[in-house]
Amino acid sequence: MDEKPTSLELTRRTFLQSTAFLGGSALLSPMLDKAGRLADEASAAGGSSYKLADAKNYISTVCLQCNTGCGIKAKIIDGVIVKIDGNPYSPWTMFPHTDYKTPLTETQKIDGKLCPKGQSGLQTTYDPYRITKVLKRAGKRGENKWVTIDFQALPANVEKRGSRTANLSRPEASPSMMRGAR
Amino acid sequence: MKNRREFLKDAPDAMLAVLGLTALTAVAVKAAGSADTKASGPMDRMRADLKRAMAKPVDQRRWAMAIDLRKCIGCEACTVACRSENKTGPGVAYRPVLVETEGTFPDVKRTFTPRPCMHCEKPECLKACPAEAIKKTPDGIVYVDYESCVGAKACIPACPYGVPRFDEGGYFTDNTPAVQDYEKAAAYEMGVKRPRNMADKAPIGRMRKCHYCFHRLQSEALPACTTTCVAHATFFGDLKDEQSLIFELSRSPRVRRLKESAGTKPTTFYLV
Repeated sequence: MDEKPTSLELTRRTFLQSTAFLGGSALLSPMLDKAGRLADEASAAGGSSYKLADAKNYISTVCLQCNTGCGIKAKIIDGVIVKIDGNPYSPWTMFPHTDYKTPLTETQKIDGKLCPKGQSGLQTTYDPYRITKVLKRAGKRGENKWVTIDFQALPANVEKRGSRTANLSRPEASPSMMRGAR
Repeated sequence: MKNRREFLKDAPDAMLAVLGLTALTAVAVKAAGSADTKASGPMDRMRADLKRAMAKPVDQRRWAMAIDLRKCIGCEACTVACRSENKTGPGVAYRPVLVETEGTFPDVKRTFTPRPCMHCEKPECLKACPAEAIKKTPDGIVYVDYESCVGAKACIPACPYGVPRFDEGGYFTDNTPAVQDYEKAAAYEMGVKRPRNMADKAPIGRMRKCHYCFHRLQSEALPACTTTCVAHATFFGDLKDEQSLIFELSRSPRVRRLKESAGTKPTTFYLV
């Protein structure tokens, strides 16, 4: 044993030497009381390792999976909604609802109720087939030809689009089509 | 001229009754006071029970879950909430709802039985695991240690309830334009943050099962299935606390446990 391992220096040689010396028990003992350690670690962190029970990580919004519109919490990690739960301030998800005066430090760990459609809201919001770019028609109506335009160019395009009535054979039959027609 | 407040304060009660205003002050007082009055529903009560239980030493509490089968409507919100919370992929569900249909039309009956882990006092899965990867916390939660699990699957035939499931990997959004980020997001099972984004890293390639949302309990939050249950059919708490709702329910004559003859002494119980 040429090298003595210091607390800062750990090479493969020193690692193997130390475990040989200790008979591998150094590796085993952490696992044996893992159960107790898990509980200790989690509660020592004050549950802060569980980010979803932190008011900083959710936005209050409305579920639109049906026409009820329950108030929900959309829990967000790194810009991605990872969980949806009922918002206890909304009487749809908690009755009687949590008093509005209740501080967020308390309500952050309270989840209201939410039906399965609401819980699966992630699949709707992040539908892999959703349109993610602005499409502008590049052919006749119905030809299904599109070009992608920049999102910043969208308002100008909508405002300065061509005549609504140019492709219609009898636009005068519809007053609403004629209103503001160019 | 007095202002409106003064006017209403001085008005005789008979007149206020005519105006339908008598109840107003009473309601206002009740609403303001509701924050500190005693629990006004099962959810409030369970949250208070949880708070008390978490203040106790870990070996002086014992977690249990109860499911009221008369209330369960089979909506599967619990199934989805649990999958969303724990990021289980295709093929893994900690809490499926078993649906049984009896009879023929027009005399049909359908029953729904949500089936989380039973967290048995004598777990067969724990006995069967060759890697000793299934462990029990001092407060009664039976869980899989992902570090030790080698995917032997001996727990599958051992469990009388079909609880443990193997995570083969894969995403629901496979074979679509793109696998979505929320599917790869981390779950916090047993207090450890684990994304589900690499084929050979836990929890993929490991056995998975319900752990009574251990990670949520540490933050004084009830399990995901319990909070989301629309029908108020799921209850959770500390069995050793005689003031708790779960203790009260455990004394009900409606209590049944699944496959009691298997000798596993399941903790999760049902109200039939």
